[in-house]
Amino acid sequence: MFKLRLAAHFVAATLTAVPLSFSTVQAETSLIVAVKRDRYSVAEDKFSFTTRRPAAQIVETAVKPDANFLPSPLLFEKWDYADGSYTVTLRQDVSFSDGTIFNADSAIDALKLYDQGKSDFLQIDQDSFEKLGDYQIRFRSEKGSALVIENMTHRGTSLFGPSEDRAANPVGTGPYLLDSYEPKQQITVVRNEQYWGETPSVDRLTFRFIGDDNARLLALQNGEIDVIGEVTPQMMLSIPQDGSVVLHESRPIRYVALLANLNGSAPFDIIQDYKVREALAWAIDRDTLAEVLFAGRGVPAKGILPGWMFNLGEDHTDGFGYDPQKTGALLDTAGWTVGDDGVREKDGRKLKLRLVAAYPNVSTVKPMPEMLEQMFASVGIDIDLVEVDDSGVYGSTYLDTGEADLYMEFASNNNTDPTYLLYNLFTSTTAWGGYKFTAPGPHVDEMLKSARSAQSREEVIDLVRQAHRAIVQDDLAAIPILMVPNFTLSRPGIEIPMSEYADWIDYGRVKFAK
Amino acid sequence: MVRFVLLRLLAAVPTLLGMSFVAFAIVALAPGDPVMMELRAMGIVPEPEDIAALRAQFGLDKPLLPRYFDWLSRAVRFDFGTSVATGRSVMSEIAIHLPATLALAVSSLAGAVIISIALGTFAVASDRFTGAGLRGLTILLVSIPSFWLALLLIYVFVLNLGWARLVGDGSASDLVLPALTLSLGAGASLGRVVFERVRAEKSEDYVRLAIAKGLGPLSIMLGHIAPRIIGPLTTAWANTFGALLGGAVIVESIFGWPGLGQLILQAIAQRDFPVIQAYLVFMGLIFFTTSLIADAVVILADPQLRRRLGHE
Amino acid sequence: MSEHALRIPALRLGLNGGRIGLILGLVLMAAFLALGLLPLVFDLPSPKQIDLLSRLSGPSSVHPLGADHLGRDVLSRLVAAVPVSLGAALVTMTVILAISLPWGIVAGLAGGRVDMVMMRLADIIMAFPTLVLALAVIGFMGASLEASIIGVAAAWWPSNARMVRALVLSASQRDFVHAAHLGGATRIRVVIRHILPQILPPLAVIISLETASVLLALSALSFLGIGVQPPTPEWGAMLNEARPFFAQAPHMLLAPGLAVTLAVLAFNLVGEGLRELLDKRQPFLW
Repeated sequence: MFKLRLAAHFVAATLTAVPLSFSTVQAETSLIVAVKRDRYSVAEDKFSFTTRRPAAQIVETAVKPDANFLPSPLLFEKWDYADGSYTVTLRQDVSFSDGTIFNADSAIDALKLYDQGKSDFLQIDQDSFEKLGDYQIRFRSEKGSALVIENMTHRGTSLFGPSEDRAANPVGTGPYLLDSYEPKQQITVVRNEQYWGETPSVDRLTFRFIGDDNARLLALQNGEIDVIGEVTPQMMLSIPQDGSVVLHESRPIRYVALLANLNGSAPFDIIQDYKVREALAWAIDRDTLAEVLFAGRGVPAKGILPGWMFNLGEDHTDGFGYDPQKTGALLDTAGWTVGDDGVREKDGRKLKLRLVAAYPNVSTVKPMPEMLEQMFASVGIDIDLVEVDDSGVYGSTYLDTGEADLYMEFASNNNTDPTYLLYNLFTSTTAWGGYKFTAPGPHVDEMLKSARSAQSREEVIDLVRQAHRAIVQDDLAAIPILMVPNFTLSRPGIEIPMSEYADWIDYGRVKFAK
Repeated sequence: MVRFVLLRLLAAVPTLLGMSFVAFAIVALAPGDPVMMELRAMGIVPEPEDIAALRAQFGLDKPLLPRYFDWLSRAVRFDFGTSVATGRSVMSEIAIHLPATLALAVSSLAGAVIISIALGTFAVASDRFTGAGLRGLTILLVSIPSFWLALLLIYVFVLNLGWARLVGDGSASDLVLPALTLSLGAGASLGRVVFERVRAEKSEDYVRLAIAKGLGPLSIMLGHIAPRIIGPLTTAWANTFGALLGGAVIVESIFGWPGLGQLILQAIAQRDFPVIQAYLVFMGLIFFTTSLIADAVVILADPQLRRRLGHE
Repeated sequence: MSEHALRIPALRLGLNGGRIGLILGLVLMAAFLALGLLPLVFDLPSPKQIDLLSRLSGPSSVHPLGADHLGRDVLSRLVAAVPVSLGAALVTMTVILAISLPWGIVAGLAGGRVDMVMMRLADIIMAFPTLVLALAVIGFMGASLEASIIGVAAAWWPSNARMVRALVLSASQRDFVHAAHLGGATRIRVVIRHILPQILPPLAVIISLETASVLLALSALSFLGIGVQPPTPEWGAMLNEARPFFAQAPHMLLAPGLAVTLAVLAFNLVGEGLRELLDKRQPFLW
């Protein structure tokens, strides 16, 4: 029996060794990436199919984010903005996978497709397209916005070529072609031999949908997959330390912060006192959190936008340290004194705050809420912790109603539009209803509204800096905790070109160790 | 018999209607708006008119009752609309997940039936102390939470022994662990049914008569008791199968088995209203089918009732 | 010896399986009670106390059952969870009975159209999967232990009401109940004096067995992260927290899993034991 197994091992070893020794060029390279769930929609009026992460390889966007999240050329080579109107020079010698040449006509057709989607967030005036030359076009923004090109770095705005059925046969200019799609199971793309740009290193790229976090990690350890695309803090806590799993990281991009309910009604109004918010900010031991939860890879945050992003810089915010004594002093001056049971109180009212941890879901933030609960408990703040894994309940029951004091969120400005995150989370005019409770007031509304309508990038960035400082320092609508990189996990022998923008991690260009 | 089935079906109509309304209302009134959730997940900033248009597209702008009747008139033709999340029709969503659930349900039921008959008959046939021990075992097996059993099995067979894969591709060998998890629990509770029924029959006079006639235990079991308990057993099997068809939500999610349980969990998380409604109606149909089978079996097994129905 | 004991049920002193089970079940229940009272006698660390240095550490003299992913003592969490987990199951069962008893008794006694409508209403709810109902309730109430209790109770009462109705039906067929009716006793009086005493013994069996199932359902919900909110310890929630670490720290998974199993087992044993005691039939032996 033993001999038989030995022989089998030997055969297997030679079989794998032979192609390697002959030529690495001819051997087909393949990669299996596990992601959480199948996000593709085959609906005609939606573009999420093939435009989101895994199959983003099939279609390309007009521009891509550069290292500092500024738009850089991809299918658009040059662009100019003046008075609400964009003049664009297109890249030449590019064709769609069905042979259609990418030029002014096909680019206008592709951009026009976006009006079919009912949530046209590019807000291009559909009647304004003008062909200026074979490779030059012009269009206007519906709102006179200077940020249309910025928003085109979103994978959801990828340019499709003409196709009868975009779901079954997506036609794009990207480095890959759709090979097979098994709903809820996996999607496979293969290399596009006619690709105009640099040839990717992986011939066959498979994305498997594995919903359960633990199952993804165990599957990687078991050798059933090569890469895990979505990594949670709990997974990082349970990574084996024997080198069988390798961690890859980007620069810090995602923030962990407590958004404060500044406009709630009793009993959710304690937090409206700035001193209480500041006291909370000083009570958080960020170094410990970073060390325990992200294996020392997270950094204590001074804000919710990293300094490298949009060249914002690090010094427009000051941040908060860890100083429980200062917390105590602040709470004392605010009138919250320690009661018999160790919980602070004022006029017979307990210092009890409801902290909801739900965004984006509980498994991606756990066990941070429990640790914060203990840190706050030690300074006499009683935390009523609510963890809901259901974003519908989070939105409707806690956020839209303002029925909590603190909302823990783990998210990022994953868009090259600098106003995107701040405008949506901290203005009273936000389209995402519940975040009106976290809006500091008219002054921040004004800054961000001006930023959105500003006509030059410098002006936009300057206003965003002011608004950011107001939100994370002067008004403390968001108590910053950590800034965390994007992570992926892989088996040994793979190098992944990481990106802060999860949609832009280029799995087609991983490097395999020799 | 045909008459009975028809009558039962007719009687089920108001209940099914009531159920469909509750299913519709629960889903429609639940918090969470699929449109807004998807927009935020996509990172899209909508204008108010975009939101209004999307809500109109999914019919979310109309009052509850018109929406219900609209939905019902399509649902009776098995048209449950389009999944908000995937753009596929709800029926094809169910078709994607049903085979995996069917495979798991059938194999778990088969395992459970074998386990239950073995446990039940051994417990009846063996001497007092072994019998009590076997019954103790069934009670213990019923008491183990399925999710804990699943994790223990993974710990032993996947992590330590390496005999099974965790994330399979739905092939037969990947079925073993989830099916084992489910059939142990279901088999034990079915085993209790077997034991109870056999014991009840053994207390009847006809068994005493058979013993007096000098028949052996085996021929009494097979010739006299088995035909009498097959009715209640079939009922219990039908109920178990019905429960398994709904998708063993937790076990499916632990093993990453792509069945209906996974579908409903995802649909709830994404507030995919059409899918949730269809799933609930599907569960209602299973419920009524199993109770119909149960009633029919009771009648078939009881000569007196059979006669009375025939005369009516 | 069994011959004699069998004929006179009141004197059945022989140790049969059911009786051992009943005793075992009661002993287990007493053990859980003692476990719940342990903090009064011993000085256990706080179940919420985080100690990052002993994260995921196995059983030791400091932490007899090891520590969890935040270094909290598993034993004290397990003990602190006794009133939460068992309390939730008992409260749920009370809520279920509060609905199902009147429902089943009224349906069983009223008969006819009232009975039919009431049972059809129960059928409608019964057809819904427990998980979906519980999630719906949580959707309306927000995530909390109360919500999952109400969710499970909402899903569970109809089947219970059906059993109560069946018991009432068979009880009301008895001659002395008819006699009481004919003798001019009021309905309430008949229910209280004649029907309730009859259905109580079988009901005790049902309650015990159902509590076991309810305990399983509640722990399954908290395993899914629905129900009691952290850092409050609860067995199902502890299992949920143990799951990501179960390859490195199986002790986190074993203790709470055993606790759930033994608690469910206790209720099942008591239920089965009671059933056996009440069962007057004797199988004929060959």
